[in-house]
Amino acid sequence: MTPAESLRAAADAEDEGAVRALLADLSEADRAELIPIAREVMAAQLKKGIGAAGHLAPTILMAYGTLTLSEIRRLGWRASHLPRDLVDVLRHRSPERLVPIVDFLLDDIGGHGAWRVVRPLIRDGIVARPDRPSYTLAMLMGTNYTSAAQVMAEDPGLLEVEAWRLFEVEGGGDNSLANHEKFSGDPWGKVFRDLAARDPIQRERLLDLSLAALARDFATYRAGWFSRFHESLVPTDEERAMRADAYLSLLRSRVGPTVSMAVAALARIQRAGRLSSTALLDAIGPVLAEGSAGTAKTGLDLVARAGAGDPENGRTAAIVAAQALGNASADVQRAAIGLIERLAGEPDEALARAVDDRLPDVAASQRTAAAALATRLGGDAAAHVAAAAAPKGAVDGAVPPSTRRPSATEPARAMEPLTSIESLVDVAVSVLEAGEPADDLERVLDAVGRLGADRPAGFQRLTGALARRARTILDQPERRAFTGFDARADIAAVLLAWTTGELVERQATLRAIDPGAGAFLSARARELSNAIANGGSFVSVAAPTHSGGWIDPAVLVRRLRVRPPASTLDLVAALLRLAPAGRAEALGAATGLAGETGAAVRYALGGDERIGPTAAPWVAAARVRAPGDDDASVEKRHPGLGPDAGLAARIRLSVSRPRPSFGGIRLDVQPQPVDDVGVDLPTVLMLRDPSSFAWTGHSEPSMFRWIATIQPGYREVWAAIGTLLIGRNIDWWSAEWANRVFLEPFIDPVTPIGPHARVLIGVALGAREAGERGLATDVVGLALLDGRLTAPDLAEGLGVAAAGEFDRPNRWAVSLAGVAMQSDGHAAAVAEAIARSLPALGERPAAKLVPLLRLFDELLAGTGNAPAEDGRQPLERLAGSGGQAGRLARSILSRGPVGTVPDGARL
Amino acid sequence: MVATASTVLAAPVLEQTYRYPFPSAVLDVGGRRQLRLATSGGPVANPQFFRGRLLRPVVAADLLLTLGDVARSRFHVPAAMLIRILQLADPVATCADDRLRFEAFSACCSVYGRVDLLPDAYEGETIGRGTTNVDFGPGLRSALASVQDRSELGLAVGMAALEIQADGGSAIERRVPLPSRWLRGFLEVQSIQAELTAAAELDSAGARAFLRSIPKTPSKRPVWFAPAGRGFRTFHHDPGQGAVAVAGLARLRLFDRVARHATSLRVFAAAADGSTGWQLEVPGARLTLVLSPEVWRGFSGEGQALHRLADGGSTAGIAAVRGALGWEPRLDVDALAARTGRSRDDVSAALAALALSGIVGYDLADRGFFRRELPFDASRTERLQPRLRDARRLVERAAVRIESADALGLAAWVAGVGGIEYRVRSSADGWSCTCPWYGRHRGDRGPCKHVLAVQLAAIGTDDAG
Repeated sequence: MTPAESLRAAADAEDEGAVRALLADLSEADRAELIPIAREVMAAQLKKGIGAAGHLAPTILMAYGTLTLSEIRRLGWRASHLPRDLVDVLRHRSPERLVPIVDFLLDDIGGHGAWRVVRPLIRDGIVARPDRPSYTLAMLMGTNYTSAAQVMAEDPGLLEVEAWRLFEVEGGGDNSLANHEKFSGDPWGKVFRDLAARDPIQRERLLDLSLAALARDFATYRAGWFSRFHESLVPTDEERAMRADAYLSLLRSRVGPTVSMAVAALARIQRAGRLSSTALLDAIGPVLAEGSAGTAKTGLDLVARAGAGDPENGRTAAIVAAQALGNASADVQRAAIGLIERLAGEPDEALARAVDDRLPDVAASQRTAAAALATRLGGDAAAHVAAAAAPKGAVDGAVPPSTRRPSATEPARAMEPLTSIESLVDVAVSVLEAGEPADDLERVLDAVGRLGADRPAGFQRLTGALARRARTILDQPERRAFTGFDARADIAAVLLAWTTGELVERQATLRAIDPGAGAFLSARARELSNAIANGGSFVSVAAPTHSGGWIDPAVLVRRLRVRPPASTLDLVAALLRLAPAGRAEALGAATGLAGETGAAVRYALGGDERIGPTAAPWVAAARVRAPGDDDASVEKRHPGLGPDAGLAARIRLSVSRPRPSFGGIRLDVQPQPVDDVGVDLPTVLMLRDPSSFAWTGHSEPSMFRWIATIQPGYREVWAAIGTLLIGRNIDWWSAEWANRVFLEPFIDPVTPIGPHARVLIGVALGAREAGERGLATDVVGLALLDGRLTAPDLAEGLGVAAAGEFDRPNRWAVSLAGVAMQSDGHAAAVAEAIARSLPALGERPAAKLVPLLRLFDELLAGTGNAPAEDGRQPLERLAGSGGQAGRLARSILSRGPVGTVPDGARL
Repeated sequence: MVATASTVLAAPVLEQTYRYPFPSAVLDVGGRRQLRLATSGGPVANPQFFRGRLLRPVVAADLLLTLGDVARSRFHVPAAMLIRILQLADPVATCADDRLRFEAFSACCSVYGRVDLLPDAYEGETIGRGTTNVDFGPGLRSALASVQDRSELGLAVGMAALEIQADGGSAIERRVPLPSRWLRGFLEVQSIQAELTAAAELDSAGARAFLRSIPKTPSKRPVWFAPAGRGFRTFHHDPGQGAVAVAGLARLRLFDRVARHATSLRVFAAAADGSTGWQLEVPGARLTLVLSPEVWRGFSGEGQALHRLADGGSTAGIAAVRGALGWEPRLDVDALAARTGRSRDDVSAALAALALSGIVGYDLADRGFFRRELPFDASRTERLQPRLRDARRLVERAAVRIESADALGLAAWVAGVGGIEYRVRSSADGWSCTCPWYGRHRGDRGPCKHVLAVQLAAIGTDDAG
């Protein structure tokens, strides 16, 4: 048989051994004759798809053994299924063919498989040792399944070059030395430590290489192994002293643990009397200015020793120490002030300038001492006094105090209806892609209903692209039109009905998952869709007149004078959106509105009416007439419909103790939710599933935002649900990105902040997810300014959150610092809120309160206020304890009273 | 023999070969430390541009290390890209009349960085002018990290052939696959900068406090900044009033290394686009970072320059302007107009086109373009612009029908596949289209192919008229 015939026979028999034996010793020229067969076999495999995965080895051997790299690449995922004996068919390939294949194996395939093939080629001198990181990383992955010690024992040549490159290659993702060692029990570390123990020369090399690796500026996670390894060698003082320059050069590292290790090493060298003070003072600056508090303080100790004994050194050390005044920690700043005081003698222009330069960075609690120091050193006394007096972080009127709360129906919030098909298409193409914003979604629904019967010339041409896109979206398997979960599918279904007359059925969902008030919105969209599919119109009275879902009461009355509501759902939607302003005038104008609709509208506007027989509009009217209050008349006429029907929902947060890491809270709702709730009762639907609100895990954020427009004037139920969702996930146990939507409405200055909203804010200020926490910070800043929130309100929210074990004082400190920096008034309000919330935190370990106490102390120092009375008792208890909490409590109690809130501290 | 750098275009990856005659390093030369930057490509194979010394070694070292951080950054890693992007594109150095510029572009294509060393940062002899790649391997990073102020630091950008031979250093050759979106982004970010306007400025203390306030793991969602007192007030919602939106705040932590040297921080933003520019002034130099609107949105997808490409300057005009470019720090449009005999608008359009060809960059501080001829083969820029390419195909297929055009705007139809037509209109508010792409982005990522096709067709109609 010819080689070609043999190869074909081996391929037909899927005989891996025969293929290998045939190709192993062939020259590149001989292999050329086999290329057509290899291509044919490869094409057949590609056709089989994933089904051939178990029988790939003969094909892979043929491809790697005969074809060019570009053809091998066409194998796609198959190319990484490397047979164990692949190296045998590669040995005799020409260098022109082999080198690119080796590069490909390392760069694109990687891992243990690539190492097993490539390493023998290099060890046997067939291919030059690659100078690429992927070679080193392949070796690392080669020890995933075989211990590093065994690999080294079997292939001692690795100690010539390869093993040392582990100190040069950073890697990334899962594939790095740090990651490998973390999850494999530090096998390379053991190999190197054994080596160091056996061979003093190699020990020296390992000490140097580990420091050199730290100088390579690897990412923090990947650098950590090298500093731990270095210390695991337990360098002697002598060994460290010989490497003083290397440690000094690490002081500029961005990796905190590297800097800490270097500072600790330098401390030992200094204690051994082997550290050059000049060199230290030249290099330590970045540690003092940017280091963590502990490291920076150790750095100051080094500076102190470097400056001791010699006046000139002392002066230089004091100038260097001034850099620590720029450190973020007030403790470091205090230590720096103390050190400079000790080192500085008489007035010194250069030192005074160094201190002056950093005064703007100094925390409020240290500013007086720093200014006094600068003055003593001969700096600009006037500037120091001004700096000491200026509250740190004060906002110079960037957010002007608001004199009045804006109205929901201000002209600036007015929404323009879409009046032409062209303008409707223009907005619809965008809403179709996002399912939001809710304002535009409502504009599109409104316009489709009004213009539904219009079929001008060119209608199909203009809407053809829209129709096709809507159909494409609805064909996506995850879409669920008219289910209450998917705003984008709802709008797509409506647009498809409008443009083509095609009706989309409500898509199936699990019965166990309740869509909440989303069902009401989907039902509205569905009835619109049904009405317009045949070219009819559906003129709604519920289109919002103002951004946020609001309807001007006068406009609703005007609309109803012209036409009746399009449906009961339409009327319910319109009533729940009534803005508070202008109701009395609208009531007067509504006198002539006929029938049950007219009566319900007048009732909603505050009129006295006899309750009619149709429950839904009366429930809506009751909820908008007096949100949060029982309506005895409606309850009497339409009893037992559930919470927020005739009777207002009373919601209490119920917490399991001890609380698990996720969940452990529920809302207790009275009256009890009922199972069978009509789709026309959105306020009741909101609370039908109070234990889990399963809809929140299945709806898209666009649906959340749409639901938020159902009743824009009353957010207490909304806030309670938000508290449950954010609270049960406060430590981000689950990636629930949409929950922040529950905070969004409170940014709007027209949204009132009631008791449940205050708790939501208190909880969210401690959320781990930066977006939730940040949005809560924004809400507090704005609401303090516009009067929706006061310091006692904020304290109440924090206190209730603490009672439910949602307090996270470290995160509260960050969030509240963000609020406080907005103005002196904000700072004073935050300080008062902290004081008032301290009693609720009384049982917490003192150490947990340190960040909050530190902020509290700084705020009092900045505003010149004394702590509010409510916080004195817990502070006095803390003041008797040791540690930072005790020191901070004593400092806080010593603050003020220096008078009332300073003039600049008004909101 | 040292060959020149070369670029081979093989969509969607360009393979760039760097050939350095020696590795960049910090060496002891006659008892003095010298930063030697090896060069590859540009006016000659391994140009020699500068020899002198850095006056603030630590500041310069921190700036260059930060630039290296930019090149190494991958704030968004597309699936299965990790091994490839470990092979990094080296920074680009430009030696001009009175400054040295170093540019880098992140592997994820969402951050552009440039270091400008101004005359106060160095002294020495400018041997040549031009642009080249500089070797920025791990050894150099390590050496830069150990630079101290107490020792003088020389600087050499490129070396004379004789010196290289005398030193006997080993040459380096690296082939790096550059995704075409990387090169496209590097080019487009220049035009995007031209659209940015100054939004805020912080003094040194404010800059330090602001940069320090960025959390280690900041929100992945956009945050907004508004000037407030000495610093910025941060919002997690859009407060309006010209607040600057930034997504992927972690990218600003690239400033960490140099924040302590800051004398001011200037912020630039564009109204329509979410890109932002951040310029940190340090003694004798400045560092500019330009961030794309999202970490997963590289500049290559922004397409803000496509309108200009479609408008096109005349080929002759572009050639004339290119021929008149000098190495002054800022290209003066009026001077170029006078030199070429073309209008100011023509020169501006030509500069924008040259930016997309890699011939000029944009400097936010100077509010103008500067000459910088990227050592990549960017001559086939248009091939790198699939939207423009598709638009031209639509025009060639006669898929565009302009229905009306007057001073207020135009209306047109563009035929798509399956008998669908897209409505394209222009007005004082800008362009609109009824295609899904426009629906998703509404122009904030540049025009769709239908808008570009109409634009091209309209120009053709004008020319015919």
